[in-house]
Amino acid sequence: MNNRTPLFAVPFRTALLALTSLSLASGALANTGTDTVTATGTVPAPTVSVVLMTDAATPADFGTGYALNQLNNSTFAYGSNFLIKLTYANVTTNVSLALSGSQANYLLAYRHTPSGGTLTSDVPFSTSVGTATASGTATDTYASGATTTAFNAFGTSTGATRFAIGAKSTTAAVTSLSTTITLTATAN
Amino acid sequence: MRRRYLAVCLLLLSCASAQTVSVQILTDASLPADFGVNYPLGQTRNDAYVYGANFIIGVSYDLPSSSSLTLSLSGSQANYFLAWTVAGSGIDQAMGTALGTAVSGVSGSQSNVYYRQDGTLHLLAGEATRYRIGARATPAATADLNTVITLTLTSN
Repeated sequence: MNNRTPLFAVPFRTALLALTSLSLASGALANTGTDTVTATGTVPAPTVSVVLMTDAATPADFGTGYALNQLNNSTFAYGSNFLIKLTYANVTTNVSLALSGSQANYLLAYRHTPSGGTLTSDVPFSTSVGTATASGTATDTYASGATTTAFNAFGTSTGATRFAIGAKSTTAAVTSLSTTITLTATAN
Repeated sequence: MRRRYLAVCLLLLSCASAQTVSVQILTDASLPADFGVNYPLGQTRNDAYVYGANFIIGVSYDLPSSSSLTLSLSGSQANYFLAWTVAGSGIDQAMGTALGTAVSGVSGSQSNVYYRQDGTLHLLAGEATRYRIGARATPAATADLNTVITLTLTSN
């Protein structure tokens, strides 16, 4: 009765061999070591730059002089056409354009001809030149539009919108026009 | 007889538990030091990766049997791409890509040796490969970058 072997008893030698093979197996398992650093950085800052360019086969910087010559009280007199060249980086939403400038006793305006579009009537400076969806980075891209929209896209110089700035004097004007016109590009 | 089996068993168990590897991110200096926890990248960009300072990789191991060592970097943050590069290579490498050839046939014990991307370990820091971690933001990124990057050394 007392010499009967229990059901789950395993000979000692067998148990030892099993343990040995287990330890060999664990010796082959992968082992890892780690070290960490915390990378930090600031979110990109949008940048945009804008240049007025001549309306030529090879556009060049327009420079600083924009002549309107003889003005009159009845209609806007316009200068030569220019293109708007833009370079931007890290933009997430859009780029918008605006013209500003004034002189007492003169009204200032702009007009534009999108590629394949029509020449607009006089647009006051208070009216936004336009906004185009933009994302990421672009270099030397031109403001372009469609039909009556001055600016809602980017493209090559050949497809760019032609802009011109004009002025009309009021009867109170006694001095010549000489004022700085600013084209502002805003990212996001 | 029982004692002899037990001794063999304990010996093998102790050998297995002695297998250790450790890795450290070190400064690229004539006397490399622990890089610490901060890895600043400064102003990130949308159009290119911006990389931080060089670091080198220090390895220590205690391996009873011939093993192979591999290294990788991991870490991520929404709206950012993270990468590593070998200084001067100009190649952006994705996180998870092995940092170089595995070091094969490693056994015994060694402390503070430096890894080179051709799969060799060196006693002189000057022989080590210079790595950098970088990030590029997507246009959707509105939060600053702040994420843990882990360097993992695996032996098998």
